[in-house]
Amino acid sequence: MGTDASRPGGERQAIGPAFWLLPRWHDKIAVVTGIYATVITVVALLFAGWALISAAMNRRPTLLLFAAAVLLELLLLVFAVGGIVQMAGSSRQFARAEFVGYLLGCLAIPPLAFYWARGERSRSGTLVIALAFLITPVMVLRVQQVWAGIGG
Amino acid sequence: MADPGEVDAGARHSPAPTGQGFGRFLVAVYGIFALAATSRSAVQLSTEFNKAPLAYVLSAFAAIVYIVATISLARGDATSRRLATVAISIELVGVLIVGAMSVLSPSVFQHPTVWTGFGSGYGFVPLVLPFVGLWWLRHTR
Repeated sequence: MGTDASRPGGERQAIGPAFWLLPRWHDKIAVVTGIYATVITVVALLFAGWALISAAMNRRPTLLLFAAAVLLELLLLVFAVGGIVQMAGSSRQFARAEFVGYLLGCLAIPPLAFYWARGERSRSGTLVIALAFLITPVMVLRVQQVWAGIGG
Repeated sequence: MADPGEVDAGARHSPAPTGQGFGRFLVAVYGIFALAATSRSAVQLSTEFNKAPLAYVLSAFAAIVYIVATISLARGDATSRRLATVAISIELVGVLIVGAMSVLSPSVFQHPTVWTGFGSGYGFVPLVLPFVGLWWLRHTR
């Protein structure tokens, strides 16, 4: 998904003087919206499948499912920090505020789902967690699209 | 958000809470649309408002409707229930009118909102959602 688009040619020209280390990382740095984003997407989709199967079996959310939400949140924290570093290392024109907005939006999803599913003693709680796992790849995709300069 | 159970603890024949059971899931879906519509309209209004003021004001309006519906469904007391009914009714009218207008005169709605094309950009969930919401409010009455 968008690995080519995440390394546009215009990026090579000027690096801001404040980011003295970043030119060295320059060629590796799109890894956050590249391979790492793909990892998050795959993990989230696997978790979503698990949650959906649990819901289909009429199970309320288990501790393990909440733990999965916490794990996803940790992955997203690294994503947000890495994404901002990646952005700082690029001098290219793209919607930076939107980029950061989507990174932070990703971060908000698992905690909200955790909070909202917590008190529910039916499969609906499991479905709420499943929704969070399904929405996360969409948000990650939007981050990748904004990085690649695709408007929306 | 308040605990839906404690609000009408003393009342007799109090309606079932709208934020539990299936409602827990429904509120989550509304919450997603509240977030999606809010972030979309925030971007639109801040960066390119002059391009299509009508569409972008509509986006913001839809965002507010979703936020009100989400919170009032989650709370579920008598006042919230009335508020939810109003918000979801507006949502229904909104998606139908904006959907119809975007099909009939696409030139006005070149810049998308949540409700453009009856919510086709969101898997038509915006079209289904108000029907489910109103059904749920009736069902829990």
